Amino acid sequence: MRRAAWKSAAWTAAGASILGALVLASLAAPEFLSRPNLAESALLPFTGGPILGTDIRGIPITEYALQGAGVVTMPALVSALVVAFLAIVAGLARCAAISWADTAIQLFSELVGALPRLVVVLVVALAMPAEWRSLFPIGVTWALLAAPGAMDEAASTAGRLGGAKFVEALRAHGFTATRIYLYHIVWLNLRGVIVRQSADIMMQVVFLEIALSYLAESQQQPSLTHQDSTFSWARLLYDGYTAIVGGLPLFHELFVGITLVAATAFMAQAFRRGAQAR
Amino acid sequence: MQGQKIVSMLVDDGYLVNTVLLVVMAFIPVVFGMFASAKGWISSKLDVVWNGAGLTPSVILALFATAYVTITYGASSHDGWPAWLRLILGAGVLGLADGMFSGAVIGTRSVFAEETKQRYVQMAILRGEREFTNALPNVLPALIGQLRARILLMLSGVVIVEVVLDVVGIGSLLWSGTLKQDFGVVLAATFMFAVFSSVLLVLQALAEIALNIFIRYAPVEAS
Amino acid sequence: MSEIERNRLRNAERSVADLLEANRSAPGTVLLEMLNVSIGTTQRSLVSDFSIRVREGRVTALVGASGSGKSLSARAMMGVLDVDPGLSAGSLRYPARSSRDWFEDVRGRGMGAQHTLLRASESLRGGYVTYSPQSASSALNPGRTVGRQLEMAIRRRETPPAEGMAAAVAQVLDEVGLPHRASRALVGELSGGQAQRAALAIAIAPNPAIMIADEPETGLDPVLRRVVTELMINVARRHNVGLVLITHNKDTVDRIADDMVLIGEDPWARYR
Repeated sequence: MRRAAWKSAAWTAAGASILGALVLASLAAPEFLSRPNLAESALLPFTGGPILGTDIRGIPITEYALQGAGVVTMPALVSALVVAFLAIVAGLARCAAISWADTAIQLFSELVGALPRLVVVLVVALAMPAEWRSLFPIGVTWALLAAPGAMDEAASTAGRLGGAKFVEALRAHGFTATRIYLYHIVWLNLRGVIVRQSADIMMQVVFLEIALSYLAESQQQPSLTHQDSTFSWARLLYDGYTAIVGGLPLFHELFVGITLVAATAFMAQAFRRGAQAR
Repeated sequence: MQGQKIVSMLVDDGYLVNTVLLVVMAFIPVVFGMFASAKGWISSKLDVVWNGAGLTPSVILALFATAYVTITYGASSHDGWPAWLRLILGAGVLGLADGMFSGAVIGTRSVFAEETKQRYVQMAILRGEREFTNALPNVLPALIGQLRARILLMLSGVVIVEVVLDVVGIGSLLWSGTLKQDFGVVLAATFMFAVFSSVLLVLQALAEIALNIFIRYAPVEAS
Repeated sequence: MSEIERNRLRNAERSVADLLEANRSAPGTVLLEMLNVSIGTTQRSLVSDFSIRVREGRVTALVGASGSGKSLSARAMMGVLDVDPGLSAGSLRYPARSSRDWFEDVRGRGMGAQHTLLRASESLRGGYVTYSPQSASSALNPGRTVGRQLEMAIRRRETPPAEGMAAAVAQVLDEVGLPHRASRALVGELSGGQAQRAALAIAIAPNPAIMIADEPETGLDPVLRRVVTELMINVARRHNVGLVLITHNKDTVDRIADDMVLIGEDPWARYR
């Protein structure tokens, strides 16, 4: 058991480190990119220029990475919190034996599950005024669409505990309702489900932003997720890909983009493994 | 917005056919994967491979696919590629990315593993029957529900794949309509997706009626 | 006087040793012979040097305390071994069919060999040797009607029923005292006693040579216990089946067993 606990802690620490790095990066993101400097065009990493090299315009790739982190991190965190909140509500409702809760969750699930998520997201993006373009409403929409799965899992976990009978048994032991619901149910039993689902949603929101921005870049259109003065990680992928196809030495730019994607996926997997039941 | 009839775009210009083809071609290996996993033909040691591909977002996989073909065919735009190649690549990306194949294989295996642990399956072995034939009718309704959810997820990926691989379809129509703020096109494309979803729901309901004995069963008083 | 009463009177004059000896040396066609079997895990031995002979038309009681390996031995008699590393010694033969030792390629060879045995012996199970489980409500397929499960069992007969499937199903239901409409019932709709009868029907439907009944009294009230065990013995006698009755109920052994096999220690020794 102790070894399993250490492994779990190590995975959680790894995930938390990447999340921490993302938050710091988002806070350090420059509002605008540096001016183009053709003298430093397409510099490779560790060759005397910026640490991750530069793009074709001589702009440090680090700035793209930081700005991209600024675009995705907070909206992804908010989306994760939305899912976490709804999962907690569903789990507590099962334990409180609120009879209409299951029906409400089922109805919510059927309604939001009726359409492919990206279709709904694009309709939301269409409805947003251009000056309000941001990942926040898109991320929250995605989180609401994904919430039924998390709610269902949380409710099932609470159901396996025994639901209202579990609460009754703890009340008989003299615990207060607040302690029972917050500590015994949420912290001890639902924590794993909530962390897993929230981490997955964070990853999905980041990937969603990259996908939407990439599609916009490929068609030289404004992005749906950030203002024109900001760049997302999709820029690294698009620039890197088109440069390689065009025979330009910007493989490092594509590599950085893919590494950031892989780091996001690893973060979600690390939280998932850290939260797995023994 | 340019006055072109959307119905003729969908039907005559092949938007509808391409999207349906993409989904069907991606769907077939997923179903085969589920069947092979249920029969135990796919080793759990390969899960790392499926998970790796499944973790990759569809946009990245589509990027790799286009990069490979661009380097092979030497075209910087997609005009030089045969349409069948784009459809096959698109189907491959749809089927592998976003946890589609991995979820289908691993999910089916765990559903069957849970069911075959049930006492009635262990007793069936003692009657000379097979685990698979005993467990399958009881897990099929759940698997069909999972399959419908996966297809809905696949429809999300269709938008990305069609745009990146330059396949003319409802997804790319929706995307360009959104970018150009063409409400009519967005409405039409969303409606088509809603029709797909409804058709899937009806198919799932029909399959449940056919397969789930508890739906069409009339209780009998045996005493 | 019923046969069961005759049995009781006869067994009242026989000791446990007499019953054990009867299994070793009684006359009659030996249908199943499992000798000197030892099964274990890497940590402990589960069954040690166990032998049993099943003869045509006789009831053999397999007696042992809880956890002594009765069900494990019963499954081994049917070629089902699911313990790692499993069988270390012993042989299994069906002398009336062939002289083949089914454990020959399994002894000491682990799970892979056991899986091969499972596949190879599949045709015997459910046809030549059948199994009637305890707590039948959870042992039958919940998604199939009783009639469908009976049809599947009847199809495993060596010769198909001359009167047609529906009539064959009705006949089997009559034998176990279930109404014909029970064929349309799902297992979940049957009471405990009805489910046990249905399990008995499924076990007897293929006209087996050997039937293994695993603690059929479990979960039933005292009256139903007698009803079920007497039904079982009557059906077995009618079909001339070699019946192995797994039990730890001394009263059952006294009433119906022709011979006995002990696994582990004698559970009733301290009470004599």
